[in-house]
Amino acid sequence: MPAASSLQVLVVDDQMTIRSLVRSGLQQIGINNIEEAPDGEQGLRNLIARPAHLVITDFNMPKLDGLGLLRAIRAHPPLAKTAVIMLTGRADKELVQRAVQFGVNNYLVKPFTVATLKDKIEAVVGALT
Amino acid sequence: MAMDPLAAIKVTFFQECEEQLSELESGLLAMEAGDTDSEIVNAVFRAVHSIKGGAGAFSLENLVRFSHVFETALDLIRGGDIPADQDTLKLLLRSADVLADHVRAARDGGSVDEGRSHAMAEELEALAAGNGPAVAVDEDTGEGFADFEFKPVLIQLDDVVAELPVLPTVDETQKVKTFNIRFYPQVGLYQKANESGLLLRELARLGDMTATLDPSGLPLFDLLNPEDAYIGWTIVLRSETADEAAVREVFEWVEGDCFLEVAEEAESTGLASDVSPEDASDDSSDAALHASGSTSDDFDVLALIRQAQGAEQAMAEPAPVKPAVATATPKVDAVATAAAPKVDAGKSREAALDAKAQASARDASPQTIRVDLERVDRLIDLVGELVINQAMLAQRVGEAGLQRASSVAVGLDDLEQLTREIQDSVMAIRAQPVKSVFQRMPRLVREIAMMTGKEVRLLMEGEGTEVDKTVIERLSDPLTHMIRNAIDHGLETPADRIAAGKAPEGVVKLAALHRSGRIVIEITDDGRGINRPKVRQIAIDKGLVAPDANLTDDEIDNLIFMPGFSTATSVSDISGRGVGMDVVRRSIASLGGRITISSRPGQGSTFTLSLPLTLAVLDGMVVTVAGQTLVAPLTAIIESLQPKVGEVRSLGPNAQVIAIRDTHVPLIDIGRTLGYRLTSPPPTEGVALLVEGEGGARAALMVDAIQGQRQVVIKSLEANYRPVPGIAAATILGDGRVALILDVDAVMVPRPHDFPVLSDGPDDLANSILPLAQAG
Repeated sequence: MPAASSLQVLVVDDQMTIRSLVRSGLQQIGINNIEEAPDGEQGLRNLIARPAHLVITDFNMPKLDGLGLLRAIRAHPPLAKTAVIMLTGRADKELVQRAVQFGVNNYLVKPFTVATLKDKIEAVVGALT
Repeated sequence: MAMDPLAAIKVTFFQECEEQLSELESGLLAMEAGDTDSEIVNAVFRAVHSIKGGAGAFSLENLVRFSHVFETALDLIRGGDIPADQDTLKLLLRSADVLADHVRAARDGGSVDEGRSHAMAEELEALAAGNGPAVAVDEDTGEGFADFEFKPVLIQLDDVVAELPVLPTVDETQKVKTFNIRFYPQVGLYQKANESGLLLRELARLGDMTATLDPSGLPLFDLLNPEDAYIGWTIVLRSETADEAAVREVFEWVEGDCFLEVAEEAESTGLASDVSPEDASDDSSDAALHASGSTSDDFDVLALIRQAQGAEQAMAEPAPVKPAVATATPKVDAVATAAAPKVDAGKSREAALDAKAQASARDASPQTIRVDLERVDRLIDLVGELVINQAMLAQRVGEAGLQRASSVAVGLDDLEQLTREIQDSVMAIRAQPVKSVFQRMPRLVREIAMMTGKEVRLLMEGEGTEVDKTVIERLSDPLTHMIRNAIDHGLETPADRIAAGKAPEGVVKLAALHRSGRIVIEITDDGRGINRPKVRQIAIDKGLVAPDANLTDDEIDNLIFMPGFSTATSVSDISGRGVGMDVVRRSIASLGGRITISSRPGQGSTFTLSLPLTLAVLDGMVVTVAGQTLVAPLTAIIESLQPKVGEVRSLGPNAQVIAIRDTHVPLIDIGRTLGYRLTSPPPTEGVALLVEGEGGARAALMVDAIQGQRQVVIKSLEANYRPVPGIAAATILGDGRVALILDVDAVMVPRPHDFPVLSDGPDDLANSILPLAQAG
């Protein structure tokens, strides 16, 4: 049972609004080690410099989108085991199906509640303490 | 933090919405202009998608609903199911306007025009209907999609390395092929609509590429034809996937128009081992880095991104192609120099290219922070103090009789230089591109075009031109008004235009540029131009000019700036509200700006605004009046002159005029006007500043002497003391004394009992005085 406070999370989204919402939700769960990146490329740079346990990423972003980021993470051995949760819209079922092929750990449909966010994270890293 | 976190995020959301709306509009305009780049289409889609996503989080139902319909249509366009033709784009642009209304209604708690919004949504739905599959919205419970089995993948946290690991290099040595390519376009390459940059960009998709530019084919400058290709390239490409055929395929279209050589290197093995000792010492840091296999630097990211981008998706736009394309990475550089043994000359150049590539990689994602404006203003105030202090110190040092070459004086020069740089940098923080004002205009133009039944195309230029934020904020109203005028009064109806042999669509052009330390904004229309006989008649009817006044074309054009002048026979609701160009002129003047007009009958008019780049400093002329030091704004001063006997005539005990070339203007003694003295010295002993006020009226201001020109920091009198009639503000001079800045318009307002004039307009003043002066 991992302690929420030990979890390191990277939030990748081109919208500051969504990043802030996710951050706020994570903080309510007790997760405080949070980094943010505005696109997949920057997210990847951050990860290589400072690996995280969990990446929560949007799909549609400039430069490198969520699927591209997922593929890059899985392709790079030191990062390959990082957990990845995709943020999706309600109509993005196909994208989630594709993300499954690339080894996504879970997905989270916007808009989401803090409870759902917690469930989705726990389904990936185990129950948080 | 008093604000609850969600409220703070909501503020962020609306700020981001503005950015996304602006991106949406500029993207749609680019598409309308024929740009079909998939990245633009995607950005347009993403803008609406993001607004919808955020709106959902805050349960802004109306906004979600409209953006959903909009997004659906855009998705079909993105997928190619709906062609992005002109009609569609016009619809999308209007939808963007409605979306903007929805955003603002959600933000400000107002409401939108429901009828318009409904009609718009229906149009969008009609566009989407019958074009491709309707996007099925999965009703999601918050837990997952219906009819979709997804098993979350549990991870073992211990597997994920928590602290910064030493990342082993990706093992790519065995499979990687290295190609040495020489690409020398023939002179006529560009004329066949080919472009080296695009080819190199295409090539870069195949793998890691280092391109070295060979400018040796460039002719002497006077022999150079800018449309010809002279530059050649030596390229090293490392690719896991490409073979020689794939490389040659890139150049397929220019076969015969270039010299091309593709050679595959025998075997590429270990990276560092390929580097010769000599190179290794030059590039010691890089080489050591790779030898140790520790790679926390950029190259893996780039490689990974390219890897991730491979195959199906073309997502990211490729790195901008510089004259020398270099996705140069330290590793590849080392290989490249090893492969091409022209080390010495190449070295520094490649280092430069590398730096450039890194810089451009940084450019690609501009880092910004949001800063409270008050903090910036505080900084500007402090820098103003610094400038004053520095000037005072310089004067003290001068007074102390220190040598120019003394270390104190030299240090002071450095300080002066630094102070100036700091001032420029701080001003640059407040500087913003005029884009923020310009981008409101397309919508305005669309709406006025619709209301007037005219066809209008808006061209914009120089949106990146930067100017102080305060100036930008106060530019919006005058520009709006002038654009309205240009369409409402300037442009003809399509029928009239056709009758006049013009295209039915009128063109309004808005351009911004920097010219000699000021920003110049031009509003040009290709309409009918100023109707001079009509303007003249109206001015006569309204008693603004004498019926027999002999006016030049230029003077007639300028009559439209006179207070109370309006050519519209009825006050239309477009150019409206009964305000005329005099209001525009006044608001521009209050920014220290000028407005001029040039017009050609049947061909259109150009209004030119010239404004200072900042309101924090002012170029002034420092003058002495009755022992006081004053500053006159340089922008108001046309010339300074020494009155001669015979040029000055009296119009009674309190009024004088001076002959300047062929007109007479009032002569005003600043000393008496401001109450510094009761009697004026003879004008011939002083200096006259010929000034032009905001209404275009001219006057000669008498001062005792001119001390010089200087840039001064403006200090508000209202904020620090109290308003003083005739004084606009204050400043602190180099010697520490406070000097007052003249309010030129206030001191030149002619009092009725002083001057027998019909009004204070520009030319009638001279006209009405002239007969008197000649009589006297």
